[in-house]
Amino acid sequence: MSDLQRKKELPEEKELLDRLLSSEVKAELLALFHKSPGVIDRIDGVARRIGRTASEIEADVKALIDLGILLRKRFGKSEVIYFNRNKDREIQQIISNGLKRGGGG
Amino acid sequence: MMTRTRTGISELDEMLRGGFMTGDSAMIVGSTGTGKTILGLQYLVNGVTKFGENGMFVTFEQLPDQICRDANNLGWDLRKIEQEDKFRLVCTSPDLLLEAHNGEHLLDEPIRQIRPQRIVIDSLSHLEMYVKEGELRKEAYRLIMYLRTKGLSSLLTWESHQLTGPTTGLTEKGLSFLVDCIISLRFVEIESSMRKALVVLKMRGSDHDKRLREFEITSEGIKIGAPFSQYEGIMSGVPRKSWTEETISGWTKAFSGKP
Repeated sequence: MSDLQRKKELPEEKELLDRLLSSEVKAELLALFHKSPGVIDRIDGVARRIGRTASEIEADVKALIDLGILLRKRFGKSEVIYFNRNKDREIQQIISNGLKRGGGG
Repeated sequence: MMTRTRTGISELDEMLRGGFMTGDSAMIVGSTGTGKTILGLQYLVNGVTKFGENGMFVTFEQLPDQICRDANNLGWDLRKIEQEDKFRLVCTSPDLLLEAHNGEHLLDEPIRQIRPQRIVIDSLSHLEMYVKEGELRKEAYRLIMYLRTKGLSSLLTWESHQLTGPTTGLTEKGLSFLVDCIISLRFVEIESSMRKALVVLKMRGSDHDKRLREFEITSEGIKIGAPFSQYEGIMSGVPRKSWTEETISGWTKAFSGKP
């Protein structure tokens, strides 16, 4: 891979990292799901686990759903949120590769 | 002949005459701190490591990573077997387990992912807070039937409110007939110290050990010891030394004046 290609790819990875960690709540959500990947709960149940309210985390949950790290599904009267392990591994890999290339360059 | 699902705790398997009946539902009843969660985890970890059977642990605790930490202290690496897709720690709200949509249940997806043969629900008592009075039995029955339909050998925990004493709370709630096997864990006060006792109260369609056995939670999990042969009234929480033949013979000798 050429240096030009490397430079071109790095900002995307950086952008991904920035989007993941753009708020304190997102970081708390990521920490929760990394420590407890088996959490399947409503938004208020997820919020309670990090000591927050549903309205406080709503926007950040949506952002993580847009990134594909969290998934949303309807069960009966409830909508539940859970972790997408495969997508998380994929994103981690992209960031890790980017950091290695960036560090090596 | 029915196949058995071994717990991997050899003394308990002996007490169960080889293990739980495969596909049955068993309940572990005990007050807080008796070791219900540890017994459940040990059943699943042994399933993975000793018998090649995948397992799922469903908890209603707020922070399941504490379960991983506690398991780690007993030498069980839940994260590792979870990464190998042999184990799942599912953490949810109790009422969500009771809901279904278009025939899909909350546990369908994790069951599809790892195809477990064993499952532990810790604990069924949490459902009490979410169902109308008098409906617990119906909802518990529905959940047990769901697990049975999936071919899972299930272990459900139930927290009894009394630390010692004869009541488990199961009969009052009408749950005892729903499950095929009941194991009771309890504290007993003997000579001013708290010890732990385990007894198999019921096992549908099979003989089982009826004796109360002492157990301990060691650095490797639950270890079951000898029966409490010198005591009676243990289930009542007020045990007393029983008049064994040896004791009677001792008294006879003492009063007869013979050496």
